[in-house]
Amino acid sequence: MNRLSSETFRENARAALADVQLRGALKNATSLFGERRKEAAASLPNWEELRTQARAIKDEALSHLDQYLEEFKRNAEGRGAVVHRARDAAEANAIITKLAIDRHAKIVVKSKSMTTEETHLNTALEAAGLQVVETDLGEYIIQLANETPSHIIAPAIHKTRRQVAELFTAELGMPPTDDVAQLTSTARATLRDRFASADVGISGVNFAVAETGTIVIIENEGNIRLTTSLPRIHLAVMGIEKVVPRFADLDVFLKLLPRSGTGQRLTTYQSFITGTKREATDEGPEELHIVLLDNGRSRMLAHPVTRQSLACIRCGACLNSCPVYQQIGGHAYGSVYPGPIGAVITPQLMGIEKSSQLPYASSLCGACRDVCPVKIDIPQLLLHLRGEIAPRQGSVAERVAFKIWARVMMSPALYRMSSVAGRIMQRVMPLSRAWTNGRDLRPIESRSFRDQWKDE
Amino acid sequence: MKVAFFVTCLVDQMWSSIGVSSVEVLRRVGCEVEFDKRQTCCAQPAFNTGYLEEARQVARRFIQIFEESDADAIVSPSGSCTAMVHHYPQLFAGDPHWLPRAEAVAAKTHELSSFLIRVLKIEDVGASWNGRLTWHDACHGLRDLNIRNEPRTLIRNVRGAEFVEMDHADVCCGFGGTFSVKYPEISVAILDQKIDAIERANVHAVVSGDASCLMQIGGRLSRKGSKVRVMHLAELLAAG
Amino acid sequence: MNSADFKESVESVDGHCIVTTDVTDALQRILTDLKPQRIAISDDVRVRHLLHDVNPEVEELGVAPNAHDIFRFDVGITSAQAAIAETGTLVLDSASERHRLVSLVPPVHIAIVNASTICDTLSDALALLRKDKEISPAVTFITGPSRTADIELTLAIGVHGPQELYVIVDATG
Repeated sequence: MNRLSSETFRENARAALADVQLRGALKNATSLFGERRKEAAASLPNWEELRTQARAIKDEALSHLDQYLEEFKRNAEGRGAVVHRARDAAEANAIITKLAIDRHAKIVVKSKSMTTEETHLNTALEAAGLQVVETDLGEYIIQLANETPSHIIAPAIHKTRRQVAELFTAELGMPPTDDVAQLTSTARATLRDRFASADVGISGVNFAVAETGTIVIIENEGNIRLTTSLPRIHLAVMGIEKVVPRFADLDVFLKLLPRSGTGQRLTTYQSFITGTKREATDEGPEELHIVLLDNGRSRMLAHPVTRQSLACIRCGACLNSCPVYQQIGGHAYGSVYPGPIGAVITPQLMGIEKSSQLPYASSLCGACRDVCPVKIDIPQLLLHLRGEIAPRQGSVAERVAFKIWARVMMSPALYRMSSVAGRIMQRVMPLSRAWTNGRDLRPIESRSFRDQWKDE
Repeated sequence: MKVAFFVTCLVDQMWSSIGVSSVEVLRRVGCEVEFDKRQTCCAQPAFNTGYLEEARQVARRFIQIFEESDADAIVSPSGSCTAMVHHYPQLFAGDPHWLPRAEAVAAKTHELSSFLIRVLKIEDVGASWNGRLTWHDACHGLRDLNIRNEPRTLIRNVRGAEFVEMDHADVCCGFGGTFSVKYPEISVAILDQKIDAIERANVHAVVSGDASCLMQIGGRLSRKGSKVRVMHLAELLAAG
Repeated sequence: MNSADFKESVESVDGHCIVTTDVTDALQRILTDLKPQRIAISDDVRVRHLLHDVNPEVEELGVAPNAHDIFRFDVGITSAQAAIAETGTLVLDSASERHRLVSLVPPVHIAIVNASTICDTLSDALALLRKDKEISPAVTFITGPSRTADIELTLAIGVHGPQELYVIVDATG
């Protein structure tokens, strides 16, 4: 599988910039999502108020997270669910694999879940001999293509209909077509077979309500409903930050999330699942297992600045608004979570050693902060992470350069001298070449402002 | 009103006419302007790259110099450097000695257009300039300082100037300080979207409030042989 | 008032909506148009009576078929426990009716809802779910037919769930 790494971000980005088709697709997608979000937000007069409320709810949940998780577990288990806690990806995958193997499962259908992308669950399940089928259309396409998602809510955003058609022809034996409706119905027919024979359905979770033990999952396609209704066993995987205190809190989030993500007032389906069915003859799975994943989240929770990263509701609005994402797309980040929020949470989840380039992959323009439905100050987080990275991992040349810079800026005499030196430096510094490959450099003027200054 | 002028190191060294024009405009509207030659940089390059110790060192010096002044306001022809000064309290969070001093200096520091409109309540500085022009919202002025209407109001009152709103005026030009040299290819790819929008607007000049954005935009326009010129708002307001 | 808003909202998300005082007649017309071979209905008493009255000519009429059988049906008919006017949403509560699969798997879903159960807003509907009772094991909100835009952001209706959604609002109910 061709998985890019965050460590080669610079090279990944260059390759993405050279991909004309990718850039066309990105431009269409990000501008369309962006415009729809803008219209949807404008249609609610109290949008700003909702954002403030949403953030306050998240802050409340995060500041008493253990208490709310306990309450959620108690209430969900009181209704027949089993709640598991996993410290890291390996533990989550082990729990899920064991549950499936113990029940002699052969086929697992999955609905879209960024959390299971984070744990690389499919690889673990396949290694245990299970057949895993992604059922979200976008996820299904990239599973067939052996790729990874390039956007949080539109995983196959980077592929054209022609590429999808070629893939379906090669993998499913479909006659060649460019018709999206036909491609979609081919996927529908193929996946229906899998739904009919699956033993286990694995889903993500958008919100978990502490006071009722309810999990809420939202979608447009219906594959989540199929995944959580047809198989005998439903496994739901969620990050610990998904919990909200009260059922009534859902109101705010169900208004913000679809509008921020796709610009819809409401997505087609919301499933509110509370425990298992009451009677054996009722519809729905016999067992519900909910896996609560930490995987570095407690670390983020511990610091007052980074804690807000956990307020994210995975709407993808920051990706669409980001000038960097708009140019290079999701794969270049080499991480499960791309874009501005990815540049913030990847180093915190995976460690800054392997993803130290990501917090620098931003012009700090702040467009992400403007669109974030839960008001995460992403630029502040990026700066915080840069502050962690630079003194430890910055190149020697860079660290020395900033030491010298500070010395110069502390002294008007040195500052003045360096401006003279700067005129010569401009021609030899590698910094200048990085600039002048694409842009002309304005020459330093012969007389600075201070040399021209006259008191009135 | 007495104003302490904060020229910014970029304008001082690279684009002195912005500084000269700013002072001219401030004096024209009746301000008494002083300039402390000890000033250097606001510390933004180090702050944005993650060298917080170096940033604090330089920021402390800025605070010391400007708190000595008895001026009513500190005014700068840069949204970005003004925003940096407004970030000082964040840089000194938890420091009982420096935090209040940082807050006091931040509260006094204004970007030029917002100072004219919000503080002085002046919408027309008596400038004239002939031609079609458009405005690029520099990100930090726009999003950190909420400056959107101020420059547009001032531009609309320039005699002879025809103001055209370009597409996506509020989208980043791709500069981003060290970002522009750490990832020059991405920076230029973002920039090209801005250049396209400027060309579609069919103007003689693009005006902005930050010399850094203008260097980025102007550098690309010049490389492409475009006839569109870049101009700082202060230069436009001093014209005529 | 609510019914008219609700109808408009349903239609704005590509659903069909009929507000009527004669539900039997409305259902009759839809089924005459669709000519399904196999109809699945929920176990709701009212839906059963309706089907009895309409008495369509079909090969098979299944009542709440199980997960194995449901796949062969062309049309699913259920009622809905409530609805939301501002969004055109149906609220299905598993404690009241076995309609989880009938409303999901067949390519066409026909839902019957009483006008008096239409709430104004999403907030009202959420409050209703919690009112005086334990929340049911499965509550489903449905707003229009199944949709996707995963290929080139081109809208395709009916990817996994129903391709068509008909809502009959009983103005007398």
